[in-house]
Amino acid sequence: MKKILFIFSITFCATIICGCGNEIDDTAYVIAIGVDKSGETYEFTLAIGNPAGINGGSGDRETLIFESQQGHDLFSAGEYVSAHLGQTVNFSHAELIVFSSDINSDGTAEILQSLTQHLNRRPQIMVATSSKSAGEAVRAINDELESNPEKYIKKILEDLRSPVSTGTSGKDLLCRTKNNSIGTALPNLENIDGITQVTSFSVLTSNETAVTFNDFIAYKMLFGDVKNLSFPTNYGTLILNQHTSPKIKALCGNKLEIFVNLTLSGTPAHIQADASKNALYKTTENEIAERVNALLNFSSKTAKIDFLNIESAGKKCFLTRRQWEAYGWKEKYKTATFNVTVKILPEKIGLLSVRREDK
Amino acid sequence: MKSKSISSGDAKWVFVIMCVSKILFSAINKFTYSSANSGYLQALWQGVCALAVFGLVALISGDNADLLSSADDAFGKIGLRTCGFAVTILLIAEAGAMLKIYTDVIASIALPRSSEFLISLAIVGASATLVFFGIPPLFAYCRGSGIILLVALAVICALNIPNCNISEVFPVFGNGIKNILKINGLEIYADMLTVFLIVPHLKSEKDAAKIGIKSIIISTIAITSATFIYVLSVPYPASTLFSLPILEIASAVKLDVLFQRAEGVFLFLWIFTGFILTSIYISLSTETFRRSFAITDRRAITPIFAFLALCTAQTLKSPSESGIIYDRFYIFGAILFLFLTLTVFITKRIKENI
Repeated sequence: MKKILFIFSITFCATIICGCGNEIDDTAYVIAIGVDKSGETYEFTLAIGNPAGINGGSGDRETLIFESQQGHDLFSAGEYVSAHLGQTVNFSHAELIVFSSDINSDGTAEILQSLTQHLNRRPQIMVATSSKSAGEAVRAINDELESNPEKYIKKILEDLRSPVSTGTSGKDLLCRTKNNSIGTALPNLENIDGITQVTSFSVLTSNETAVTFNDFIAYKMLFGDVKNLSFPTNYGTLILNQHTSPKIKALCGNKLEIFVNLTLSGTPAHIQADASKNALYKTTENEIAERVNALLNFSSKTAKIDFLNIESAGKKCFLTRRQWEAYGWKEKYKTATFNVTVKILPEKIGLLSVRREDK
Repeated sequence: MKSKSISSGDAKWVFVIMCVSKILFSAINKFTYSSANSGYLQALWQGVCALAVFGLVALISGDNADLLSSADDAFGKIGLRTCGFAVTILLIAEAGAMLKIYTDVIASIALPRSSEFLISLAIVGASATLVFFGIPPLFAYCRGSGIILLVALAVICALNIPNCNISEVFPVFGNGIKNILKINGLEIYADMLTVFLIVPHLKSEKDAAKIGIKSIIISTIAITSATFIYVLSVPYPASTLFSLPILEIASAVKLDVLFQRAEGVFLFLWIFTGFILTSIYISLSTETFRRSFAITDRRAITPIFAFLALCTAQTLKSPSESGIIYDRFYIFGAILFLFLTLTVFITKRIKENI
């Protein structure tokens, strides 16, 4: 009796909750989203994966289908696109969202919040900006898409040639937009000769025109994210790696003083005939220190916002959030002074013997 | 139910499940709202307070820690029935609220096209079947389930380590020591008091206090660790945005292309604990009612209590309504249960000493 009851109850439960969900043909999976300002509303460009074209599917079919729709929010635009395609738009596979530069941080936060609120979303969606039309930037990715959209997006955002491995994800950006004392730098995508590339970073600021910078190397170093980077100087080239995060210390007095200590390891790739190894290391250290200092001063004096996450070092000086908020990091950061020291340690000995003057 | 059939090892894991499952809802939010990035310290403090309160109740309970027989000793048959009826109502209401919340989340995340009533019915049906077979199999099942729950939670936390930023620990005391030391979230451990309902069925009756203390320690470690990982991976004030913190960190998992999003683990935990908790509440309410009113056939009343839990769940309409009611009811229920337990044990001790 017990067995019969047990089997009956399991079978009953299994039958009432099973059923067909969405068939794959009924669903339009969005891979990338472009957001442009259009008067009081937005224009959303959705890049939708076409299973028939992916993986060489059937002949010359496109790998992506593009749909543009105006709307106050992403989901109402998605519903129009669903009606047009006869498929339900699903955002759970979206890998990239591109905002045009005329959408400030408030607009970005609004759209990201609605995307986060919705359950069909990927928290680690990559966020980028476009100095021209975000829709165009999204449409430009079609030709390069192979079988794996994530692979492509990694290629543009994390490849060494477009050196942005410290890209900001949707969740990180949403978290940062909720913190008024810090800003965010987003990779800026541009279509150059038909190839989408990261050309600079845009600093998102509330209600102001975005400022841009293009020193990727200094930016990556401040996030401890340098891997196999060729750094040429007048004395030769070092291949740099960063195995430890930068040590950042903030002295939170009346005047904010910030000390940044970078430790890298380097392998000489090329030394000029008349140069010594020591000179190569010293020059590289000085040049890096100069560039990092320039980027820090850019954030403090030009962008006037801490988009480099230096505040995490500042918070260590305080025991409670009340003390931290009373300090006024945002204002103090604008007049902060920076002191950058760089140390490059030899990583590999190389096959050439050390020159006499180096000893 | 055979008496003396529950080992202290099985019972310990039942109470661990009852406490730790609360963080699958929004319990972590209470800590981050109140103490910001030092929410984990508040979670730890609630564990310490729970240990102190439980220790005090266990100390007062004396040699006979059984709530119902103590109520009988203290107030006679009327006391026993009043106490038993109040506890039964509380447990049924908890089962209903729990069922409603689990159903809402399963319906909105995993089965959006299924009828909520049918999901509730499936959970209640499965729970009632398990309760029908008796409490010992349920408690034995919980031993394995409790370990699976903690392992799955540890997997979610471990997969989130790459998303953690240790600098989020600062400022160390978040919104201040005053907020950390607030009693806020102690109701997470309220279910520990139900250990006094199962005392006659424990292999060793003196183990009740030991079971409670061990369960609170294990639960505190699990809750504090999960809160710590959440605080490190979602910076304040954004950490107050998410209504299901563990789901948030589970979905943020991204280990290269191959391993992404651990919502599956979360959903498994969710459905798994929903089923177990509903079963535990129904079985405890059935057993309490049976003992209070001297009913000989426990099986006969099991479907009635399962039906009552289903009806309670159906009276709550929207997820937000059930969330608010659940939160308030849980605090109210915890205070009431604590008051009831203390009144019974103190009265019994006074009578013993006269």
